[in-house]
Amino acid sequence: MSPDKKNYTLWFVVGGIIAFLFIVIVGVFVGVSIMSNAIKNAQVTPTPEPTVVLEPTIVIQANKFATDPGVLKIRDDLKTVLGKIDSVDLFEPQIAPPAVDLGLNIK
Amino acid sequence: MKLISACIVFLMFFLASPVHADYQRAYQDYVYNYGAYRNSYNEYTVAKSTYQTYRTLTAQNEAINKFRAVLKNRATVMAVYYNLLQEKLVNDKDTFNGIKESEKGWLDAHQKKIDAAGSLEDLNSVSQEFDSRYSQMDLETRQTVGKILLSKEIDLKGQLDLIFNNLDTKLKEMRTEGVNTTTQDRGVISSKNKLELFNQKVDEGKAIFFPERNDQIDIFKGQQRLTEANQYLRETVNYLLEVIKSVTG
Repeated sequence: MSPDKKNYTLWFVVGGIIAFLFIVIVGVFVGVSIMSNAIKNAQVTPTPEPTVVLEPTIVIQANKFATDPGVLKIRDDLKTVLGKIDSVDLFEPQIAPPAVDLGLNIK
Repeated sequence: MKLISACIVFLMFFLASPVHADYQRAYQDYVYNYGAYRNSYNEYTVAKSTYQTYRTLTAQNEAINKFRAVLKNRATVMAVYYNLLQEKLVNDKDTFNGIKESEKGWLDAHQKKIDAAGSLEDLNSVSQEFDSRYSQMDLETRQTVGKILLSKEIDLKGQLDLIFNNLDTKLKEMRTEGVNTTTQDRGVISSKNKLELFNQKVDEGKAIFFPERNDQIDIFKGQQRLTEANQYLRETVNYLLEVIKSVTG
């Protein structure tokens, strides 16, 4: 083999090795990059949480009626009636029919 | 000046509770006459026993006197009992007044017959008349007791109906202003269901106090139905208080 041909072969082998290494490095870099993105994406993905439905209008209105004079009067009226219900006398022994005797006779 | 003030206080005292005072007077009258009747009944039984043992003229006279006394006192007890019920009634006073006057008329005539009776036979006959009449008086008075007791529950229910109306109006107002009243509406429905049970018990009470046939009226049974009705009324009010609490917090 001539020295020129020998050098050519050597350069070809070295160039092949460098090209191979370059491809491997680029491949590893791309692979790592994709993997890291995947991991990153996996970490970022938010867990779906139940939507909290706030009812600000209702809360505000309920508070408004909590001190409404009409509502408070109904409550007081109910308590008054409850007092009457608890104290009502449904037996009234005073008005029980008198025990009068029948069949009075002297023979 | 002091005299005028004293007169005003005196008048206010009597005008403040005339119905109550009339009832108390009627009750005292009834208690006194009932006590007199029981005493005369005891004396009658002794006199009757003595006469039936000895058959003497003295014993007979004593028996006539004691028999007359017990019959008169019995009639008086019934008359004052009608007065007592009249004073206790809140509604239908006029209707009962008619009944009372009719019975008092009969009892007055009965008293005159007792006074006119001169022998034990006459008194036995007059006593028999009372027995025949008594079932009618018993029915009238028991129904009146029922009416008095029923009116108490019906009056309470009337007060509750007004509150229901006020609450309905208020809930409508709340809905108009965008408030979700679902919880309150549900509570009102539950309350009304309880009130329906109250109505059923009151109807059962009415059926006892006003039977279709003229059976003996069991007042105690009627009172039990009304007590049950009262319990449903109490539960209705408690439900409504919960409805109010859901608004006031």
